[in-house]
Amino acid sequence: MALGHRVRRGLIPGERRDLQALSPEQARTVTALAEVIVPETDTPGATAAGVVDFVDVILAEWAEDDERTRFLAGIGDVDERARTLEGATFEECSPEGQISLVAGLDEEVDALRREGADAPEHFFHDVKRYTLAGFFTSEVGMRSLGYRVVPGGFEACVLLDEYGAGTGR
Amino acid sequence: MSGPRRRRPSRTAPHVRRQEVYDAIVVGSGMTGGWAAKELTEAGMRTLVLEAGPMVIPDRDYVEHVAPYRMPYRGWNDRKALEAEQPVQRECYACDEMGRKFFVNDIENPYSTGDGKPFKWIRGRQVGGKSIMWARQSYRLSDVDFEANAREGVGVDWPIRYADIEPWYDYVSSFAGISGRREGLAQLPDGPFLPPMDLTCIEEVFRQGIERHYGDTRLLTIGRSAVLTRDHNGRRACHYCGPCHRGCITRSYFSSLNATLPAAEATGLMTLRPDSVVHSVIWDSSKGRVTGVRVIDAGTHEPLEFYGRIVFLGASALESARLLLHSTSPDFPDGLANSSGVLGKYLMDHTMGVGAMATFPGWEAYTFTGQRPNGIYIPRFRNVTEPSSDFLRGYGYQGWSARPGWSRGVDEPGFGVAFKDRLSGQGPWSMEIEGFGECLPRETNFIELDPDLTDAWGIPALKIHCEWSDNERHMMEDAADQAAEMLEAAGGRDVRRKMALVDPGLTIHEMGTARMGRDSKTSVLNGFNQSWDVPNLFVIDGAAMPSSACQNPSLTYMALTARACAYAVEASKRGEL
Repeated sequence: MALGHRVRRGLIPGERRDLQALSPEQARTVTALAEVIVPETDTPGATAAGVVDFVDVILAEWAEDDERTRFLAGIGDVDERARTLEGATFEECSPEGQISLVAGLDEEVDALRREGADAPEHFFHDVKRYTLAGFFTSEVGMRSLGYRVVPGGFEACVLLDEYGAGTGR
Repeated sequence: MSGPRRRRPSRTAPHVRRQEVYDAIVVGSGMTGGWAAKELTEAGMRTLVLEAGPMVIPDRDYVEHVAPYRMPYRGWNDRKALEAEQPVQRECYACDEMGRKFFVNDIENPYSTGDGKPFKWIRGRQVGGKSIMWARQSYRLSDVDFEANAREGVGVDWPIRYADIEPWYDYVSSFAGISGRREGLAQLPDGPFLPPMDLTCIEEVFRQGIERHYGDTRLLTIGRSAVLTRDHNGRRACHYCGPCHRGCITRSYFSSLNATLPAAEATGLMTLRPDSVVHSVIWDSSKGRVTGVRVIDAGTHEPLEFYGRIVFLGASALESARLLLHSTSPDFPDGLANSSGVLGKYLMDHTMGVGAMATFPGWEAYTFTGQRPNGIYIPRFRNVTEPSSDFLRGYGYQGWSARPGWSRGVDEPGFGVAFKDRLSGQGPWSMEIEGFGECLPRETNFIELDPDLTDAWGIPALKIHCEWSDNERHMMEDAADQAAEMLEAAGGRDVRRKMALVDPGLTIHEMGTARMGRDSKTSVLNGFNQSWDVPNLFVIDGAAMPSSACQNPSLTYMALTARACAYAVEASKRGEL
């Protein structure tokens, strides 16, 4: 399976595992969504950070049943929108099409937020939350922030520029 | 104390233990039990330390250096396990994905509460107790606190004054290592501090703003923390990794595991027996003394007895009182050492969860590096330097500054390259302070044995009746107002009051259930933590407190314990116990 290979390709060695909650099709959609939210730049992106595996663990072992159901239904909905837009799954859409779809979802969440409604009830809020956590708490994500397990000292007031993006935190 | 191989199996073999009479038995191996173990063994007493929970071996069990990406849930916690096993403990911030093993299983350790009176009982049952997960803030009480009950006619008078405990504060501080800044305040006496940790840019801005606006009636100082800022007594200086509550392999913060128990072990006179759930204290009516304790082995459930000439209870305020309530006899039908009838009553905790926060624009170019295991402190000013007509006593603030990380993006619009870059940087400076308020002693806040509930070892569970009063609520209204006013005065923007008063218990400063006093008719203990009724019985933990003050109490427990042990050793030599 070429697509399956593509999903697997970016995983961190040692973190490979069988998916528990996501079907291969759903995993491809989640992987593509996460990469649009946190793309590869001069640092690795969501795919390289193995975000889909974190999402799968969270859905399988951590999320409540209704949270998982809402999330998976939402992933199906993303592919429906993609078919309407470009006649393909989200993962197969053009980069422009993917960005347009994610912009629409992000705006739906923000509209709810502006109305004072419970934004987390929208599945894309969870997609973004899981993606950000999956990326920024991964080893590559934390290294990109300059994280060190043992900073070794505390400097209370230093110029941010002298430390670049990483502050040892 | 570094591992099972250094324990002495011969001493714990059943046929031996039933004959041996220790010089002292200490129940509990945490903050106060560890101090008792050290003080008694260093005075030459053969001491048995009984711990209800398992052994903790730092090399094996500390988990502070596990990076988030090595955790199955990346720090989001094993949510299902917490729901099933620790529905109460999980309310403590330190009961996290790696730290939760240091908190009790709520199913094995149940308790009940009075109707409409939620109480969060946070417990650690292992060698080291809660001294592993404590927040390390270390403050002294002063005569403002020791005189308050007598002055106001509240509760009972403390049987001691600051002069009685000052040398013991010095003694325990010198051993433990407390970092902080000398400020010369009457209401918060200084000590022999290790060098203070530094304030961040914004904390310094806030400090100067308070100084400018309030003159000498209020001040901000760095937290006084039992974390070493330089090597001290064979322990290493802090390396600023952050999650102290998961242990510290360099022993840089004070805990019984890191400091007092190794000192006791070094004497060769300590026998430490983990997995020993103390069931009751053995009372000998003919001698008018206690002779030891009944224990249930945590693993095998085998009933055992251990004998000692003096018994020290340091099992935590609620556990020590529970143990006495459960130790009944014809002489003490309402609980051992309870001729006064006040055992279990006058339960207190500190109020928490109320304060204010603000952002401080203009300092975006600056940040800090490393994880300082300490915050700032604003000592009590209410009814010290500034009066209040709304309430008795006062509160101190703890606080911290921060620059938010990536998680702020969860509730913001955006995605893609610019979003990633933005979240990879730091958010605006924020400053938050929270009032820790004194709770008055009240007879209506009390514990009793629940007739219908037992723990996993068949010992009656507690029913806890505790609630805040108007004095605490009015005090916290003021704490929110004053917090917001100070942040405004120092140039804070977007100032928000925070009114989230926690349920009693959650501050984990529960105390007062076997109070000391001047009169045996109205208190359980005398001024040396010694039972009025039973001369060779001491209660050394927070149960002894006749008032709560508003300062974090552990340093006071340590000082009272060291003082009680010195008294007991001398009294024992004189043959009085």
